[in-house]
Amino acid sequence: MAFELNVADCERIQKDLNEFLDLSEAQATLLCDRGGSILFSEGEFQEDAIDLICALVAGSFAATKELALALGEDEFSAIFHQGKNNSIFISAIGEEVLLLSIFSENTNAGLVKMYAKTACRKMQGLFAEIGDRSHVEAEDVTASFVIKKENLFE
Amino acid sequence: MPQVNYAKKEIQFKIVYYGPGMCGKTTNLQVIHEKVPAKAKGKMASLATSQDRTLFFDFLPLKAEAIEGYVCKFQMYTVPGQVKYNSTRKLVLRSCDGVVFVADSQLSKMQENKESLLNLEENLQAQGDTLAKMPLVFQYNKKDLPQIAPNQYMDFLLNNGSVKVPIIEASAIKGDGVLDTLNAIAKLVIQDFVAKKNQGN
Repeated sequence: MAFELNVADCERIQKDLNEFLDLSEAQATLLCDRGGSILFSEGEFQEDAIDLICALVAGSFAATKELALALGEDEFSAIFHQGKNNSIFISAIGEEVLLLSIFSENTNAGLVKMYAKTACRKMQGLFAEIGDRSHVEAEDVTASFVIKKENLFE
Repeated sequence: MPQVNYAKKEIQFKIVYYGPGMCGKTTNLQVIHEKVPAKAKGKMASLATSQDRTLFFDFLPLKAEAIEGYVCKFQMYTVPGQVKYNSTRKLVLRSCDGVVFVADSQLSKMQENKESLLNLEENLQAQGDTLAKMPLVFQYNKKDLPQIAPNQYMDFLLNNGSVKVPIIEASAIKGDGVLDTLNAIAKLVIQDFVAKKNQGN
């Protein structure tokens, strides 16, 4: 599913993610769709790596879903990868969105998992609402999309 | 439809390179990665086997100013071509906005090309898309090799729908036709998006 986020949506998402970061003490978090496209990020990410991170998060989650099916589960709704210095926790928000949390060894993994669950529940309604909207206006309703250049890569 | 973020003024398109095993999908992305300037690309990743065959996907993010006032991001993926990896191909195709079908021009590969195109059509239908409505470009690759099929024959076998799909001749390994293919599919996905948005969809 393709999401179209307007300014108000982004403000609500930013508020929820900041609250999650404060409570969980995670270092960074991002939302991407299950196709691997980034929706929103908070905290520090390397700019040139963020798209790759989303692609791999979506890929990792999809692979884990297949594993779940092979084991007779519908889906593993969250996955955890533990590193030496940093760990990640990926959890599903409904059918279309994934929440990635990155946290260091000084953060309590249980805290991240608990608050990630709360954040996912909270944002599930918002994304259902966004997904149900048939049309999103740009800020300027008279604006149209104009193609600037056709041969983009030379 | 691509992801649109009106607050960040950003549009994200997902483009998938599809085709039979060893037809040159990964080579296409590697050449793009080599040729495109650093400011227009992010990190590339290949999830491959120890024999360099694609296991899951290759991924390359690109960026360009294609639409007035918006940054357009192109998330480029390849699928694994080997027949046995169909579940993986379905996962990679999810939410795609455009497809490059890389066909191997060698005469001995025509059956594999046809089967892969049929597989693409089935996988698109399974996710509620159709080949006819999907922005699509055919790349007839490996034109540098001997014993290749003429374009007319490949069109007869593959490009035989009521609307002719744009074709690009290529020798991806030599870098020929790779950026032409990229520009052709980028143009189609943007035109498709702009047409739908300006119609109010």
